[in-house]
Amino acid sequence: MPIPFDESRPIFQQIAERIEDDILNGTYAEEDQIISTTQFSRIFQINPATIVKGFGLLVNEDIIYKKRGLGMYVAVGAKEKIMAKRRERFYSDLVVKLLEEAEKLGMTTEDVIQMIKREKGEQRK
Amino acid sequence: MNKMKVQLQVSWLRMKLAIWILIAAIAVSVIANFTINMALGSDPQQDAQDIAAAVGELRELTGNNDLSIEVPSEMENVNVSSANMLLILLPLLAIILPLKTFRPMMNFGDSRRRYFAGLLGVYAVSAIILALVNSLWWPFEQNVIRTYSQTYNLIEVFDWEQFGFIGAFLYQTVFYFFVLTLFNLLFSGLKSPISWILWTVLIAAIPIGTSIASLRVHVADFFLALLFNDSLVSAIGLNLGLSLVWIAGAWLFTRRRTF
Amino acid sequence: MSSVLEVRQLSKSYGRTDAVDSLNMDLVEHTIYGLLGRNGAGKTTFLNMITGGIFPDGGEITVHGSPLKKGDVPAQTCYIREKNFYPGNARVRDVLQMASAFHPDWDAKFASKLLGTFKLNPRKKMRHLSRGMESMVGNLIGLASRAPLTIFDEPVLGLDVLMRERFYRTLIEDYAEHPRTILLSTHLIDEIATVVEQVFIMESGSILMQEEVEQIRERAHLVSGLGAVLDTFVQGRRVIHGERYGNAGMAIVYGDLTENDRKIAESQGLTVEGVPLQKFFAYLIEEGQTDE
Repeated sequence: MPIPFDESRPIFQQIAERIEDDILNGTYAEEDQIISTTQFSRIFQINPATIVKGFGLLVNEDIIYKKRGLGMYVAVGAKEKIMAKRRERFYSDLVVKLLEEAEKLGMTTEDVIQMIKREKGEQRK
Repeated sequence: MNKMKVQLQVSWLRMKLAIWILIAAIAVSVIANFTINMALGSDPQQDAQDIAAAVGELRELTGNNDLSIEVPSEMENVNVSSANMLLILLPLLAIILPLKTFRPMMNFGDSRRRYFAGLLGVYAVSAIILALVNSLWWPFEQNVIRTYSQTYNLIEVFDWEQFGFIGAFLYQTVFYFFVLTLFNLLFSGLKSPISWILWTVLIAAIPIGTSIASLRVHVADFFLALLFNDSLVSAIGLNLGLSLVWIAGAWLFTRRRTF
Repeated sequence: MSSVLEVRQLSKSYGRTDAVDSLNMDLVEHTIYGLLGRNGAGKTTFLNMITGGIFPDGGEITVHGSPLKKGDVPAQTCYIREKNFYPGNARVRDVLQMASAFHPDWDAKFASKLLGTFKLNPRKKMRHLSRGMESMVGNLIGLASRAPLTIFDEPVLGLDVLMRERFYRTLIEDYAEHPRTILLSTHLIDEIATVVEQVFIMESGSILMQEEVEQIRERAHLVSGLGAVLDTFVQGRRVIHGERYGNAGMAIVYGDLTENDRKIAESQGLTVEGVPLQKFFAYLIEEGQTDE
């Protein structure tokens, strides 16, 4: 299996994001058991310690929790937490940068909004 | 499978080719010798009678009673005993094993100590087997082979018969072990400068020991005590004692031998 | 975590060249390590010393808590050499049988399963194997030995991509179930990047860097932008490599960048990106050389 990870960023962060994505898109519902460290390690050929570290990030944010001897489970309210977190990042990473770039190009905020509306309108057709 | 068994297997794999070639060569020479003798109808006693008869006839014909026929020695058909030819294995074993089994054993994860002990075990067993083969071959050689061919055997040459079957077997065993451990010493430390000195001394010792008359006596005495000893106990003592010296030397090389 | 290998001030020279120079290394239990370096960096000399094959000129080696004396070999260690010394006229299955005698934790069932995984014919003689298959026999022994310290020197030499992947996957799988200390020595970084936890970068007999792989991914940055601005930004930071083209330039910077650092960089028009590991290692080794 090819490594579907970006080699220039820490893998454990990408592992956490991957699990978050799976919770967002409904692969895992609340109280579902997620993939085990061993399985993840085998499928993606990644050192188990790295995966434990990635899962650790999610445990710290109360997105998943450990059931002793059973494995990792999706916490209640995990999806909301992820969405809140991602919305914040959406603002800082995308919106702010979008407007900065627009300014460089001499576009007003209104221009940008129009562009967004046009894009949405085309998609509706 | 235990480590000793591994060493035996590795030793066998390394020796296999040499052993088969040697056995094939001996077999070919035995068969060739046998067929030639059969074809020529050669029989040493018969030959001697034939020659004596021929000389008698010639004397009668010529009336010269001093007439005699000299048979050149190379015309006599004398061979080294086949069982003795197997003894070429002694140097072969003690050259090939230290050169070709150290690294494979180390590569498997063996320790130098255990490898060396195992190697000595292989030598001891080889000495016993070769001594036994020659001891068992000896009556056969006397009773069957000598009817058509003249042969030499160490047992006879060094007069080991005097000690009986068991005694001759023991004498052979310790002497073979002596040869094995000596070659093993020479081939255990080829990377070490001390080993080069040893080789130089040995190579120099042969001409010096034989050319200087005063030394020659001692050299001769030494070989007499080693090989022609009339006391079995002192022969075993001398052979084993020297073997221990060779073993100690080889161990000093082996414990510092690098991969 | 208990110590598995402790190396202090290890040195070895051949003539005037230092093959290994005052090298220190600590390995703890249940970790996979990578020993990276170019051919000739001294990796094999180092491995031969810690496994008792050759003797150091100076320094100390402690394996599983016991000092390694001159002439001894370490216990509970399996060292798979780059060039194997299995008898050429032995069959694969015999070699496995023989190897099992030296490893108390040997798993025979696992070994015969691996024969299938690695597509090895147990009846074939060693001398009839290709270079890659030969490597695989060694790798199989290393895995099946389950030795608490297992060392592989260039394990994927002569293997095609498929077999390399298969080896690393098997290694990871078995490691997850039977944790132990594994040291992978290689000059091929790509494949072990996700397999190992920590790396030692070796060059000219010394360790240039010892770091967790994930740390390196976090700390290695490629900063590019206008030369003058770049110069002020990288001042006081560890610059592994720098290049200029016209007014612009780029620099590989090693170290933590705070959120604030990134904001400053961005506001000055600098771009900060991650660096692929093998690129980073290549630059690092080059830097180590120019230091000489």
